[in-house]
Amino acid sequence: MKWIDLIKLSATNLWRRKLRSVLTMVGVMIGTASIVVMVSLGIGINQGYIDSLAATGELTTINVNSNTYYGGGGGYVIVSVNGSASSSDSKQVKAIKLDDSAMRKISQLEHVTVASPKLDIWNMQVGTGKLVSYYSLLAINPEAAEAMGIKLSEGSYFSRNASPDTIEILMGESVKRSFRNPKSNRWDGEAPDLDWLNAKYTVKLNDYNNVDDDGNPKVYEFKGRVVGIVPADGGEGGYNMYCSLETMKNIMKKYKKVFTNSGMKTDEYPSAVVKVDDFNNVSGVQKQIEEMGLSCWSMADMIKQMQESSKSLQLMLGGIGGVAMLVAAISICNTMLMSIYERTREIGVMKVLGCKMSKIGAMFLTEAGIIGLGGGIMGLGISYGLSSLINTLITANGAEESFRSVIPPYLALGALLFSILVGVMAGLYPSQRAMRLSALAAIRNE
Amino acid sequence: MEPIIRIRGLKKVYHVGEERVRALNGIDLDIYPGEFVCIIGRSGSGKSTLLNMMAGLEKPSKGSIVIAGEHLEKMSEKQLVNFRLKHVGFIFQQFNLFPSMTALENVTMPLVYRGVGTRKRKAAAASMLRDLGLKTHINHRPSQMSGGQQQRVGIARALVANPEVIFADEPTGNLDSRTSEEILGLIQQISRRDGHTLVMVTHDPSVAEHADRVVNILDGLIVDIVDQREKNKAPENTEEEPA
Ligand SMILES: Nc1ncnc2c1ncn2[C@@H]1O[C@H](COP(=O)(O)OP(=O)(O)OP(=O)(O)O)[C@@H](O)[C@H]1O
Ligand SMILES: [Mg+2]
Repeated sequence: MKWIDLIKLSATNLWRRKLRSVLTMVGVMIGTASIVVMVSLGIGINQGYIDSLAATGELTTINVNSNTYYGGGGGYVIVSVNGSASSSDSKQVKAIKLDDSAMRKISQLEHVTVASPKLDIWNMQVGTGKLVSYYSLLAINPEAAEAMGIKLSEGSYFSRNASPDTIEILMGESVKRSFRNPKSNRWDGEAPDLDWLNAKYTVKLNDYNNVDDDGNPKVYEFKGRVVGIVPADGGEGGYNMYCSLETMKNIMKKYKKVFTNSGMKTDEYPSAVVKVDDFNNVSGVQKQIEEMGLSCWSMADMIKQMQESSKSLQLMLGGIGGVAMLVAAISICNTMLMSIYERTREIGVMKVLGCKMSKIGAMFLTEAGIIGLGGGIMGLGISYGLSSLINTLITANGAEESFRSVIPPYLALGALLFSILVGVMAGLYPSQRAMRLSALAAIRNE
Repeated sequence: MEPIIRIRGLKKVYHVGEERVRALNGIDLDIYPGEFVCIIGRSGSGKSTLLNMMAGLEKPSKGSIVIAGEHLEKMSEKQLVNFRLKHVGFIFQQFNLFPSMTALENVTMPLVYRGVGTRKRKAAAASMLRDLGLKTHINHRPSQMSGGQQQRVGIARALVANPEVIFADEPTGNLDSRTSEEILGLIQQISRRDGHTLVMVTHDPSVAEHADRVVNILDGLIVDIVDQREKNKAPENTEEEPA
């Protein structure tokens, strides 16, 4: 007996009992859809995205924010428990200042490799010749630069014994483009052609509380020097101009009035960055910092949450899928047994006419397999629908970088093969029964 | 001539609860190639049991059945199916057509099981149906045909694979006497033409009249075997020879 005839015969048999066949397929459909969507979510957590974050070191970084720097009482910090921020299992801690003593405590925490404040010096301007940048300086702990993951394409990190009246700068590659002549309207968005490491820079401190008749603030000038260039992939996209916090502290001490007048505090920091030795320790360290009364944010935290919520959805779907597949298999088995019971005489006649037993078995296996395949195809159709629905919902909630549902071709193919397999497995016992049926049944009177 | 079917000491005992039913009590029978043998006897005498055993549908309790040199009593069920595939055609009393298939499709099935290609088997089935006078009913389903027509499809199905031996258990049992005559004529004609050996069970003496030999069974034993070849030849010859 040829395969094509066998398949045709099986398909015809199913077609004779259309409604029953389709109802049996529905079980497989639900099972397949649940499992495919489950796996699609697993695939949808963009591993590439996580890997690239890991490469830049962002996965081991915790960003600490002060709740007091920008005024107000500071309020409370919510400490999340087990990565979830739901109100039931989280507690509140009184916010504290992010000052030197807090920084010291953070640095001494286990697993912390380096911690540095990040202070935005927004009332100073860096210029060279006629060109001025609108970027502000970002003061960081000079010893922490390298450990923070800042990489250099040229030059060197801050010098150990920098002269107090020269402001050393690590220039981000992307910042170069911001240097322009404020009096000229020409600006093409290109970095000016400069010998960046050797050019002479002036850093101006503007006293906005001391404005002359023309509206120009009083200006204090400092010498600047670019000691290193941070490439675009050298940390934070090369969008920062780092300077030494130590140098800056000296200047701030000297010109305290100017800084406080422009709203900057000299005894605390708005934010800080903390590096942790390993991705898996991030949430632990983060929790300790939060318990001190400081807000934290980390990529690891976000990814953990995203994995968590995806995982719970996956578990649910996996459970539904598994149970549905089991029920589907039982229902296929039942349908096949019923069909065999109804076709006892037919099977007997087939045997009398010389249809090999293996072919009779194969015919029922094929029928079960087709039921599986049909359910699989239906389930796959539903999966594509569900998948796009989930993605629409996620996008609508603005969580674009979180998990998504992706159904690659190999998943679709795998799902079909799996559904056929479930059908065939469920058909094994019935097909054995069919093979063993007596040929005599065909000729006996009922 | 070597017999195509050789039966020796065949016994069949059914166990019904505590009781033992001796359906066959030691049968010896030789059937020769091309012969038309009728098995006749009262109801319950063991005719069907004997036929089923020759067709390999039931296992003997004792004795041997050799068909075309092969010992049926030693075969597994799988081997028996293969044996039927190679040597046997079967005509049922209840027709037993596949209800969802057309006449043509029903007749092609033995060829489908034998792996014959679509075009070849359709041609063979159509020609066999034509031989049986069903040219116009090729695409009818069993439910759309009379009993006589259905049985002709059944006969076409038994003959289409050109088996050496054809077994038939009361093939005309469900038909009126005129239709029976017609159908019997057709079976005989085609078996003669194609050289099939035909073994038929019946309790109708008028059916048995057509046979070359009539085996009379009573209580599982052969009572006598009547050779009718001489008797049948005479009238037939007078009809056919002038042609
Ligand atoms: N499967 C079985 N189990 C028990 N007894 C059986 C079985 N098949 C047949 N018999 C018995 O064997 C004996 C012979 O039965 P068989 O069917 O061969 O008779 P038969 O000559 O074909 O009769 P009929 O003309 O009515 O068809 C009967 O007594 C019957 O009751
Ligand atoms: Mg009988």
